[in-house]
Amino acid sequence: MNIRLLSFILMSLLILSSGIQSAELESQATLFNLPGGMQVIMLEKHANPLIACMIYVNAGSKYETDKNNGVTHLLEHLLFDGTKTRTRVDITEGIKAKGGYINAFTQKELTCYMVLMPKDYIEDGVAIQSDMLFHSVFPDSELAKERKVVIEEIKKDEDNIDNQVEYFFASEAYQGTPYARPVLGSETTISGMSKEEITDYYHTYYEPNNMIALVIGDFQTPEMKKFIEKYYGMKTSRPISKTQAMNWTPPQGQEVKYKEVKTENTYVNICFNAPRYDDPDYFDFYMLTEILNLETNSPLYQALSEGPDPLVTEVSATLETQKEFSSLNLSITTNSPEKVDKILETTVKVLGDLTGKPLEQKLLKSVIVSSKTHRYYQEERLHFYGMMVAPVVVTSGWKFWETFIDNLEKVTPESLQQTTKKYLLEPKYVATVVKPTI
Amino acid sequence: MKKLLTCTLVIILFVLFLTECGFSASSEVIRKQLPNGLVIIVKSNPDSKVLGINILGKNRSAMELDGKTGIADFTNRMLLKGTKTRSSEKIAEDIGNIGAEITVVDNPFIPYDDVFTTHSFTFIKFQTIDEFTDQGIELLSDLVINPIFPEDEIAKTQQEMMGIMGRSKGSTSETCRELFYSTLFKDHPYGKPIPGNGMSIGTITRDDLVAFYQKFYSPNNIIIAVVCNDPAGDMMSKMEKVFGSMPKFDFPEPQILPPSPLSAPVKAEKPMEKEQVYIYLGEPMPGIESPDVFALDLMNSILSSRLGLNLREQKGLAYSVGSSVNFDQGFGWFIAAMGTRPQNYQVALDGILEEMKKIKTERVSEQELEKAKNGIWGNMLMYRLARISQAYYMCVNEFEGVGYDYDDKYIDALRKVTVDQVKQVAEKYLNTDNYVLAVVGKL
Repeated sequence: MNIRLLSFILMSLLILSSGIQSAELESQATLFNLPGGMQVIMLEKHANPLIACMIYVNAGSKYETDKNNGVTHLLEHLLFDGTKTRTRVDITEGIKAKGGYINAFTQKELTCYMVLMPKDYIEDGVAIQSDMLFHSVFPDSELAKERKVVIEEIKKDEDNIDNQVEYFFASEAYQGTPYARPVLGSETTISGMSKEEITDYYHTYYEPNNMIALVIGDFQTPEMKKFIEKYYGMKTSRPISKTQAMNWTPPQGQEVKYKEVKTENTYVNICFNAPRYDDPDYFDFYMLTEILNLETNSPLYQALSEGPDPLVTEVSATLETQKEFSSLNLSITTNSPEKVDKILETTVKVLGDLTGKPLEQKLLKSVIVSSKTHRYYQEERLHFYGMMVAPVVVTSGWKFWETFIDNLEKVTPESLQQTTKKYLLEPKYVATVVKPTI
Repeated sequence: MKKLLTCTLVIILFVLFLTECGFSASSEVIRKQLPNGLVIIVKSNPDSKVLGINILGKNRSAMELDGKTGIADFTNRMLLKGTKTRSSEKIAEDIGNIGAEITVVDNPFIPYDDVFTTHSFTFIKFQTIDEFTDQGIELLSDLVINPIFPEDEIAKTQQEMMGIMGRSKGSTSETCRELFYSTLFKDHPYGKPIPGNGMSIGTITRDDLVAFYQKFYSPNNIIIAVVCNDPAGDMMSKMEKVFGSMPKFDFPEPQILPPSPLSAPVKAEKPMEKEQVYIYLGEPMPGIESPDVFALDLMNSILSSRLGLNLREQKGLAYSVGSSVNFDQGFGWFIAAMGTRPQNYQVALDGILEEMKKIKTERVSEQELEKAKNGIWGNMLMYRLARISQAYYMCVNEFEGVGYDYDDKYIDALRKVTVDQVKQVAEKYLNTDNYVLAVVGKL
């Protein structure tokens, strides 16, 4: 899946974290662990006769090496290609035959497998999903074909300017960490990866104690619990080998890297250090990010888009939240490379100004109300909700998600100002600029 | 990601942009046409806190004057930029105060959402929650009834739109899509690029926008659908009160003729220095009023699955491949689309045509047909999960002339289609000799 899209989704997800009667959804959640170690979160939603079952695997490109870069995503494809008892057609057409939907996506920190089924057929969907996850066989012919498909996907992404921008940014902003690598890998790594390397990775990470299930939709919890136990509770687990601790060195100066490509627009991306999700300052920074995203009422947007010839055409902010670190990332599009210096200067000034005086309370209130209502909107789209909550749950845990709105409501204009001062007074950053080839 | 499925499903959605899925037993629906011509449909369904309102503007491309392509998108963007009593900042603030979400155009860079764009109509999707119902209706009505099109905001919006077009220009799939439509439909309104182009957007003035708005957002040119918790009658009264006073602007409804039939194959190419080449192959189909649409939908669903299975899953030729049939009043069209590497181009094209020929000459199996029926049914359920989507499809069905409650009728008709009917419509409508082929990329 398109990574920029997922960033957007994550951003939206975090926007949607809240609840008018704080976190109504989460209060209905049933949580338990299966004997094999899988964590299960169950949420009853009875508005539509459908159920989504999402399985989050703690396997993403951050667990790869330079050599096997792309294996997680390739594996995600291969899991649709057959099990000991089902062919690829049995899997995809078996779901379709019952009116269901099956899909998966890979990110840097997780792989997510989803089925969305009419409620009467949820057992069929969960049975196929479980079979894929634990009994895939990787036939040689399918592997050869899937390499081709993934290489087509890589080529497709290479044609997309957003991906070019994102890859360049990640390679510079997260240099020296696994987050610098593309999720899809490269033609070289995908072509050169042996079947053994792929199956080793599969056997290392595809264990129930390395997975979380989120089941959401029109079911009765006791009955659904039985299905989940039946299909996900039997397998015994072995410990998952821990990956080495990863250190990200936040930006140390004000560094700008340029790249020229065939494009009409110029794309400026800026990375600032931000507090980690378990830091008390995190929610101040989250609030700041959302205020920067308010478009017309964002102080950054206002400064960059004033006058008859605005500096920018688009601005967005993301609080990139990983297990090990967070960063505030700004994405800016402009119609002229000549404006880049002024954009950087204005951005730094706006952030600096935010350290000097508290923001208006009404801006904070607006973010909180929107966060609450957006959660209701997303609850309706069961599988979208599951996709959006995935990175938060995997990175920070369900408890973090459950209490997100309560914590956000504790942010005050003064606390936000203090945190902004701590991180963004004379801010250090890494910026990338992708501009048209001369 | 198994984007094959996504692609197929997204495309199928267009096939299906007919329906509203399964009114639940507790739902209550009222449809009313007001004296000013406005049609309002209200569905009460107390199973969610969300209030979803969709406003559909009829005949988007046909209402745009030559040289002003993209003005419908432009107008929709400008609705958020100032009213008689609200500045753009105040609008944003009031939206934030009630946590509302308003979508007035499709974002082409978010491919897997549930927002789509079409030459047929525009949309305004508005959501808030039930406790903000009154503020929400007041705000939405102000945006739609009282926009003022400030000059400075026009200039900014123009730049934003140019920036978006700059991004789209580099996309082989977007470029190929436009090339296909301009080749199949030529001077027809559907041959125009939906978001406009640099020439048209750059020349649109405030006067143009005001003139377009007066006609396009005349109450007789829009349809409003609401899905809410309130009793339907109460909500209808609220809507009637605010939208009933909209002044009517009389104008002849545009007559949109079918595209000319193809008497020979037509190929259009556009070279781009890219890693992939993109293919759009398509041809005219009957309109939504045809009794064959149900069998055609199923034929397409089976064909699309086969394209995915054979070209992607067996031959590994593509990451994304699929087909769609699209039906408007009076005419429709079929598309098969695929992105692949240049060296695979001929094999891919032959593969698409081979599958089309096969479905014309060989009966599909009962099992395949049953899967397709269930697949379409499941997709309908999925795409109508959200209240705002339900409101959207009620509007679309009303606009297409099949009635806001078309979903159940549609599924009933679909269930009755036989394998013989699928073969008959494939033979009758799929033309593997005369078609439009648009190709973009490294040629």
